[in-house]
Amino acid sequence: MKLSIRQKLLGALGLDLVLLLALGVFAWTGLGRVKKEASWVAARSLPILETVDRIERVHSHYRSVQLEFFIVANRADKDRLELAMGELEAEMDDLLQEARVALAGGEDRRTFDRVENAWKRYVEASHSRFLPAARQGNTGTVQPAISRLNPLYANLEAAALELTVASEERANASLAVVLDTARRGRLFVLAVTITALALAAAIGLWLATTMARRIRRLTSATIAVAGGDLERQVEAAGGDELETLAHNFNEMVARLHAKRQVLEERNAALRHSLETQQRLTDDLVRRKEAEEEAYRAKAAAEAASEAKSFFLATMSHELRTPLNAILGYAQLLFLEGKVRGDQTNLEELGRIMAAGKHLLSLIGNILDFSKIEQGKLDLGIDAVQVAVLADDVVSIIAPLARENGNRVDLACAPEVGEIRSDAGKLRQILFNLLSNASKFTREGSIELRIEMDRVRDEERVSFRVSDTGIGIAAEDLEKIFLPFGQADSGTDRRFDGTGLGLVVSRQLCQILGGAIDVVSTLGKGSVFSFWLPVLGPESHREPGQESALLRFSDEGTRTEPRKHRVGRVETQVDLGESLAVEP
Amino acid sequence: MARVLVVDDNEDNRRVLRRMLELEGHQVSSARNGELALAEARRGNPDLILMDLSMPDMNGWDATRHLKAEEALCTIPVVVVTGHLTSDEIRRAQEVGCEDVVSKPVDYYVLADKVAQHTRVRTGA
Repeated sequence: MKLSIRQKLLGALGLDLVLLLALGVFAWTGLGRVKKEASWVAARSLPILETVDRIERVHSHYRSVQLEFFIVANRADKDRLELAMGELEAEMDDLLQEARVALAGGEDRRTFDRVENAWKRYVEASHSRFLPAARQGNTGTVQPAISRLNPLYANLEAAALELTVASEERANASLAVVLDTARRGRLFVLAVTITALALAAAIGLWLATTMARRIRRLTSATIAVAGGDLERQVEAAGGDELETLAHNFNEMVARLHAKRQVLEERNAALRHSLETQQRLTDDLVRRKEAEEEAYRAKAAAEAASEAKSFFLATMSHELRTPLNAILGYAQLLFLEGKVRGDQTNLEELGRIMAAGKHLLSLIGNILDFSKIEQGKLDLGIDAVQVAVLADDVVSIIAPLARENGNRVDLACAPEVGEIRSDAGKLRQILFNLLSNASKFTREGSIELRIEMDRVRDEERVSFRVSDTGIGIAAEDLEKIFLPFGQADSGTDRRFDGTGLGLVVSRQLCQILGGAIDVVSTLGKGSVFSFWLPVLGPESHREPGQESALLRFSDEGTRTEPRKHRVGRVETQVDLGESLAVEP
Repeated sequence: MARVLVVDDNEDNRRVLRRMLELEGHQVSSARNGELALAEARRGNPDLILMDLSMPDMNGWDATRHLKAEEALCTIPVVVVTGHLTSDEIRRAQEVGCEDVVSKPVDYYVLADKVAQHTRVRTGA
């Protein structure tokens, strides 16, 4: 049976109401009985007792009036008393009549009948036998009359007494009934009240206990669930709101459970993603730190490089200052000797000049290298007479070459004329390649060959420096253009050199818009070849770039061979010729 | 023959230049910094000035600027003689009014050419 809590509570209330109603009805009926008994007593017993009492008083009074009547002699008094007796007789008749109506019958009736009979006999006897005589006025008759009347009177009194006693008994019995009824009614009401209370209490207790227990279960379940135990289920029974609640609660917990599982899965996924993120961030941070480290290292390296370059530039400058003096004095002495016609030291002076220029070239390499590294190399692009310049360099390199017993040849194609380039840098490249060839060749020949070339509509001048020297191993070919990478594994450092010549040469070639290459066979010799664009490096070809140094360039503008009239002395001095003297 | 003022703080350089120029037949005076060069130029009114750039007290650029600012001296050609030929330095030299440049170490023939070229212009020879 499915009953809601409301129905249960209403049922319990109804049951209580019924019990209370029954209690009321029982109490009402009990009290009704008490009232009935009490009314009966009041209606019956009490009037009879009163009537009996009045009867006693009336016949007692009647006797005393009769006695007085017997006694008095006066006529008037006799009449008054006789009248009074008549009144009392009438009153007695009324009383008896009244009593007869009141008495329903039974024992009381018989007792009453005896009283009436006794009365009637007494009055009849009085009137028939004694009163007429007494009316004659003769006191002598009093005594016998009374004596004879006494039994009758005693009869009457006894009957009256009996009636009184009977009436009293009757009244007592009625009272006892009333009391008994009242007592029983009280007990009944008490019993019913106790029963009703007990029932109501039992129902209330049962309801309270059951519901409290179930609610407690629910409460403890909610606490458990609130504490995170989503496995918890509560028993759903009772068919009322609590069952619905429990059912809904279970469902809710189940859903929460499902949701929590989903959340946990998502959480796990999220955590995983976060960890990945964290890992990535860490990686990023590490990479960033590495980058910063690299950046710092690079900055430090750059600073170091800058410092090095600055040092090299300063040192080069410092080295050049005394070298200027050496070269200046040497040339001066050489020229003065020539002018004077004194040949004694001319060759030595020439060698000083050649060695000085070699040294100058080495210093120039260092300076160029540091400038290229700093990106500060300046080009003085101008018209350059290639043949003149090449002749000049060869003349400087010749003494150096001859030290190792080498022959130096210059073969310049007649169509090679003027190109736009940096004369100083070209000189530097040629000097480096020729001095390298001289250095690594013994008792052999060195040749500088210059030709015109055309590649994809571009006019080029190509330079080839070939020697019959020791050559370079294939595995070293890559290294020789690296800074300080002189192929010393094969050469055992038998040769001097800064190791910068080829590096600077290659860089200068690139800056001048050309390229350098090498072909070599170990033990047979090497061929270094490079080319330069006739129009100069592309970055210097714009019209606006028409060299600001054009007017300023010394070597570049010198278009005549190295033959000059030395002042007033008018002596032809050819440095190249003088150097060409065999040792 | 021309009157040439050699300005250089290094004595060897002054000496070499002087000897070379004298070998060419020029008349040479010298100064060891820009200030002295100005005084010498005002006094001797040379046909050409060979000017070093890096010098103490007054460098070559400032000296040239002063020279070119003076009416009496502004027509004297100034040829820079320098060991470090960077385009920046040469540009600055051009800006202050230098006419030409000769690089160190000085080659006799180059020097002779330049001097002849610039004094020829000036003397109208």
